[in-house]
Amino acid sequence: MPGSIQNAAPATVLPASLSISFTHSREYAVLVNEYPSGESQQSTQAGNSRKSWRMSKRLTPTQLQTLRDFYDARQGATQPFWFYDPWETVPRFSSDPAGAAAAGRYAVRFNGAWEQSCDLARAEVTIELVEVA
Amino acid sequence: MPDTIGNITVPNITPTGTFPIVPDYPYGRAHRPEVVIHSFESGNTKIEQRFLLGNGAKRFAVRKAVMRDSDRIALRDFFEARYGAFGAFTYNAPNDNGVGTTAYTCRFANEPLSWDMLGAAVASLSGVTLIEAPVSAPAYTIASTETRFPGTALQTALLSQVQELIPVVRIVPKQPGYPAICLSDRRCTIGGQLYLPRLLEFDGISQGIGNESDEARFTFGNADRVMRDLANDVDLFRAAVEFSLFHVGSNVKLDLWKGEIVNWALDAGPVFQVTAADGLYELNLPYPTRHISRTCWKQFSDGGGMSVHGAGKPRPGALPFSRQYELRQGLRDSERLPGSWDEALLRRRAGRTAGRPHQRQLDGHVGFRTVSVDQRFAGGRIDLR
Repeated sequence: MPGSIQNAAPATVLPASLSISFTHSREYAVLVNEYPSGESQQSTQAGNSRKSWRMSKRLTPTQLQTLRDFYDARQGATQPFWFYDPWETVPRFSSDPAGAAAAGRYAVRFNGAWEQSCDLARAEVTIELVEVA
Repeated sequence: MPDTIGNITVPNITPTGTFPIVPDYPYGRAHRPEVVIHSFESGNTKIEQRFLLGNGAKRFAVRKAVMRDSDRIALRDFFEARYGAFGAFTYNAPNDNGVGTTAYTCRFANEPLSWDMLGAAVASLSGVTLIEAPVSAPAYTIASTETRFPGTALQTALLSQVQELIPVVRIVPKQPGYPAICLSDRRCTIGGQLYLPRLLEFDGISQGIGNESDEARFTFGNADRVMRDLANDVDLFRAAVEFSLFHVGSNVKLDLWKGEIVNWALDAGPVFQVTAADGLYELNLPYPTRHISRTCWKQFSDGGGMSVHGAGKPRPGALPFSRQYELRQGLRDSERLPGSWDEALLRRRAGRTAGRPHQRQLDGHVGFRTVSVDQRFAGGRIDLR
């Protein structure tokens, strides 16, 4: 019998940049039966929640190029990488480009396509990240 | 006292804690009774019959336009401690007039918890849905019990536009002394018997004048793995299944169908499916049930069933493998030869079958065909390919 699937082994860190909107979501994998009268049964499938983030950014052409190159190098959703949730790092809003700091660090992958909208001197892009283990 | 299904205890989730966020205006509350409506063309198409399936659970919408960081962290930790939609808690819902609150036992809806960060220490909760867990169950008395066909009182009651029918299933395993399993699509007591919510769907119950049997299918909730544990605890195969409908208006219990479980299935999902059939099912089965495989099931040169000994040498007088396979294949291609006749023929020595007139007749009878055979000896078994 083959063994268990290995854990993700990120080797890179998402380039840090400011966001114009930042949404954090978390969800538990829960099996639920719901009945017409309101009763329900449920059981949890996981010991902790799966986090995801959705960020919109307005970037300079250089920042945009850096982020897009990073997305392309990760081949979209294929390869995992480290992401620092700025509200959970110590100190807050810090980022370790080497990926050594553990506080606020999550192994993630991209979720979705790359879509950018270029304006005068700035481009807007929305990315979504999903936690992997 | 916890509920039990058979000998399996149904997990009871005890509410712990109080929801930490006081919602902003407008706070929402919604519930939608599930009603199936049948429309008729009479009465200028305004005649309809409405079947109430259930009153539905109350849902509370909580929004917080601006949330301090301490509130965000409290909500985050509360959500994590309840494992999302798993755990129950108390929610103090603001009253409609804005004065005071009313406590409800709730759980999170099975959806992600999201917040938008507005700044370094300010967040916004766009919406989280809480679902009430019902705490009371109705009880009904039985005025009469009828079998299959409704009596006069129920016939009259079924003409009303408003109907409420409660499906109930009673399963009695063959194991002597095992408790009967009483299930429904809601928690209710009918005639002193408690029925637990577990029935999600049922279909397949029909009536025909042919010789076909009913194959009723029931889908039970298995999110908490109680039905899996039940199947591990008692043999459900051939357990008696009784399906009844309780008419709430007339308090008549109509015993509609009875059969036996012929199959059940579960997977990683939240449902447990049961297939049941009535007494005609067995009469329509081809016998014996056979499974066709390309792999020979006999042990190589075991001196018993396998008519080969030595290194691939046929036993003197036995049919060569190619003939065995061809004969077996021909017999399997024939629907006119039932049962294990081919096995009996294969055990006969070649000298008593091959080349004889009755063998040739048999070949013609079964539509004999030549199949290329690759004999492989591996792992002590012979694979015919």
